Amino acid sequence: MAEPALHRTPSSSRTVAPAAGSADPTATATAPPRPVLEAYGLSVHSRERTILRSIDLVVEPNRVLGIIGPSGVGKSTLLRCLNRMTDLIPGLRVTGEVLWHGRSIHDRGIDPDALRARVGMIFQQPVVFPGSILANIVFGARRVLGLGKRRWHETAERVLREVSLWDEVHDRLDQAANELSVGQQQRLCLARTLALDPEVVLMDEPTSALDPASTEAIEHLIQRLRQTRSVVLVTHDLDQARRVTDAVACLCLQDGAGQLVEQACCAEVFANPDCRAVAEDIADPNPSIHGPATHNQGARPS
Amino acid sequence: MRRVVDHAVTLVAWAAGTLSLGLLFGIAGYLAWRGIGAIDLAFLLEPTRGAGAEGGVRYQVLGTLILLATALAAAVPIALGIGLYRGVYLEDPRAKRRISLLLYVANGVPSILFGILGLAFFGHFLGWGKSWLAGGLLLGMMILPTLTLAFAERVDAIPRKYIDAAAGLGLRRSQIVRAVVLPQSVGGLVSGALLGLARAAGETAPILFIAAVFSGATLPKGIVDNPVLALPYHIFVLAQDSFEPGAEAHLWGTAAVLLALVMFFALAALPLRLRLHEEAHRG
Repeated sequence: MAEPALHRTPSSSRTVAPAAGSADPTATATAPPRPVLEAYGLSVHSRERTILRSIDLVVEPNRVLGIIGPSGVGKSTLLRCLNRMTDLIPGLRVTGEVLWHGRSIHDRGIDPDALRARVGMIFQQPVVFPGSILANIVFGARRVLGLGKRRWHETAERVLREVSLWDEVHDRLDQAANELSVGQQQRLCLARTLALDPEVVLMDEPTSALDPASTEAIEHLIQRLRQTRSVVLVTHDLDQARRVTDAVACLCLQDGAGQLVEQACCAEVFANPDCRAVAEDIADPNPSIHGPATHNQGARPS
Repeated sequence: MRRVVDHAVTLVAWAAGTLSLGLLFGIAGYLAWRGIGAIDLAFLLEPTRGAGAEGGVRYQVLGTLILLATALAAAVPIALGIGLYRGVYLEDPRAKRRISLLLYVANGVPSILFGILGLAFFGHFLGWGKSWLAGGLLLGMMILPTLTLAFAERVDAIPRKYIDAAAGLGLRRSQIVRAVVLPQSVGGLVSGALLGLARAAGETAPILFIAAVFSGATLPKGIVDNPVLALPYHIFVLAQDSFEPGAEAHLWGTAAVLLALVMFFALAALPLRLRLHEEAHRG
């Protein structure tokens, strides 16, 4: 736990990101801040095949990095490489470098559990544990940070307000968490992760199982989160990528493995012809699944 | 034609159901009918007198409970250990299957083989003679596969997403075991234990050589040469040796007590199994 590299950097020392909703075009022009996470030549192999080949990626503080690409390209695997969740999958071999504040996360001195507490993760389907809403919120914090019982309520209020769920559930924290709607559950999962005060939140298609209203709520949250943290967002919804990300990494399949086409700010990525091909590929197959249909139609480059 | 087949299948299913229920109620009913006359409070509380023809089965009941408690104390930690090692720490699916296969084979070992194994190891090699501890440990070995398999099944059934979510929050593996794996699987261990106990309570062969005597024992005061009385062994001896009418009533009374004990364990496991079933389906 006492890893120097895993200490939290005070977010107050950073200037707050520009107004929500618009990517800052000058961000890449000025001297870039020191990245929180970097990947260099990152490859992932299973027993049968290469899943990801030679990925370079930079996650900057107070930025939302989107990852887009067709199904099966290894977006989720890439996300899991960033907090060593890949360790949990037997038979997976990760090569290349992932740096956390400049230090390799595969160093002997790095504790993967402590890293995962600093680099939180939200899954496609919300995963609430059996038990009450309150028990879910403090599930990680009480065990990882040793959060005492007397501080549970105050923590719950803080993180529930942060994810805009406080007004909906403040009078029933003792009720079973699985009785919440799916959208509420996803926000609860985010609250549970935020209770650990992570620096980076990895989100694996967090809105693909949600209705439009919950999707909008989550997107607003992402915008608020980037004032204090970094977000890496895997998304299938190009419009969502345009709305909430500062930069987009575009993956495509080459020789059976996922490769990075380009990481840049959204407009540049969508100007790249290879990425446009990927984008069309994502948007076309079944446009009705992700978000309102009108958005997707607007997303299609003409 | 299809209706004929349909009716035939229904008939066969009914017949099979009626037969199995009939057997169960037949045996239970017969034992109750023969035994109920012998059973009263004194029968349960008094020690046996007069070579099994008079008195009660106080020390047979206590002896059986001692054996069961010992078996449980020995088997539960080992079943926990094997189940967690197999389900959480072992990554190779082939190795997991091999452990399961071994447990199924161990589950099928005839109890008399456990009996002679116990005789050779506890009785001769360790020189314990007849000992309650030897019998309890042996019964523990016998029910171990049942416990472990019931537990491991529940561990395997835990959705992967819970493990991933807990790991994603930074919990250590030991914390994941305590916070996620055990709460969702310990019910399997409990129901496996109750089923195992129901079986162990009636086993005679494993305690025949090394743990049980017919008379002359009360509560054990040590380990070596400290046998106990036990319900199944009592039935075994009475059924073979006694022709007196008094002993026969005693025999059926003992049988009814054993039946009640076994049914208690089996029925206690039932609501737990049903509840877990429901939870598993609700997801």
